[in-house]
Amino acid sequence: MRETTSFRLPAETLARLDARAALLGTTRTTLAAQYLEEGMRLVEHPGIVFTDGTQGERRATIAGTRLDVWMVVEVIRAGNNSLDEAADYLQIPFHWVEAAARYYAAHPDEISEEIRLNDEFAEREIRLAAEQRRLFG
Amino acid sequence: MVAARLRSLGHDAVAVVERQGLRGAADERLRQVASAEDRVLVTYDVRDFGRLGMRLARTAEPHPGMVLVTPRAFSLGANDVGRLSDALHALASSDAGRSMAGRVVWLRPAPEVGGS
Repeated sequence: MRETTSFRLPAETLARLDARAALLGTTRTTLAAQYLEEGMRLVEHPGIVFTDGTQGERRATIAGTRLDVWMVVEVIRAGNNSLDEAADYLQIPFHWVEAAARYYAAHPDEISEEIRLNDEFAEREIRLAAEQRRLFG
Repeated sequence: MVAARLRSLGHDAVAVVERQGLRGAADERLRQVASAEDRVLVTYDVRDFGRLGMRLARTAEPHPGMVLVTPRAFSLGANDVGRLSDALHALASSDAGRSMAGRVVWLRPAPEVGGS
């Protein structure tokens, strides 16, 4: 559910927000809501940051790495749900894996959707590649 | 783990995690480094790099090649390091693997040796 509210913000902040929104092709309101939500999550989940996907979508990632939370969750699952095994495999400190697991616990639907989209893309492209081989060898 | 195993099989492989400067690099930066070093990129991030491959194809931009690995074919963990390394070794040793420039390939399990 969305509620309408208003804030008094410095003009300079609004100008930067507008410039960024124009760059991304979105609105001031949408971008402000996104940054507010991400800002809350940054505080709630130390060690997690948000990065851009190739099409501009925002994704929870372990800070200072290329590891998206969804990937870490896949590694944890593949290793019998062992966070220690995941840290060993990924060659990263345990607390980074724990940060990803904690984020997943708070936002399971978001991460499951990332996994689903990755799978969906792979299935479609593999199917098309197979069809192409069938048609043209 | 996979890179180390590939090196033991004679390949010039390097993992992003082994390169301090690449650990948090953006996709585009990683692609540029791979191109500069003439390295084929291997990734589980199939959505981002699959789309990146399409963009490069559209713009006819040369690249050394990409191998996309799906977690459904090779689980993302220590249990599948052997299978994944074998499949990459088989690909790299094949005709297709020796001419990866500009290609995006979905990795398939290596054919099993022996068996019934």
